[in-house]
Amino acid sequence: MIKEKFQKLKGKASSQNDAAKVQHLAFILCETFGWDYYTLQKQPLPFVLSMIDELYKKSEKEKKMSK
Amino acid sequence: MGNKFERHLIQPKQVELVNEMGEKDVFLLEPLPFSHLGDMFDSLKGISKLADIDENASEKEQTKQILEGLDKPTVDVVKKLVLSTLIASYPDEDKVILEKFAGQHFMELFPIVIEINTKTMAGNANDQGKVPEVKR
Repeated sequence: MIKEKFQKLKGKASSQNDAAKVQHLAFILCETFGWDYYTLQKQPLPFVLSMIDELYKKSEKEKKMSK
Repeated sequence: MGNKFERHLIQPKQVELVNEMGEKDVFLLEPLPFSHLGDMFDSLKGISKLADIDENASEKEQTKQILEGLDKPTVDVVKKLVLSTLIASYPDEDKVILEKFAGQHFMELFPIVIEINTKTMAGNANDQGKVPEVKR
């Protein structure tokens, strides 16, 4: 049970590179919503991550369309 | 059951713990604010260095292997995330008790903390879809 949970977590492990990417996209979110950095920091993590996910998907779609 | 607005909020996660006496309690864990993103990445990075755990070992032995495989900074950041989650979920509870609780249960609670915080809004609604009716 514990092993499975931790193996699953290992699969989720991300590099610092990913952290920097998320931070960068979070700043774009701030611009979109007119938030300051302090407001961003107070938002629930899953909410921000899902918004970032949407932003990422949208930009990938736009990239494909422009090709 | 809650109203339609409550049903679409980020839901806390129910966690059940049973002690050696067989006493069962349910805890509701809330997501953390975005300010903990760095700690979350650090903890996952530390866990990625874990060697494979012996499948045939007992749960106690597996726990020991995990604890031995984690470096001190990773254990510290994992405990910090668990404690922050407990404080966010139970702001009126005695901090000393929460610290002890986080120290004793961080292995069980940490995977749940990551699950709550990385779950997207859509996934959250699909998985649970209702407000849990559990007293804190």
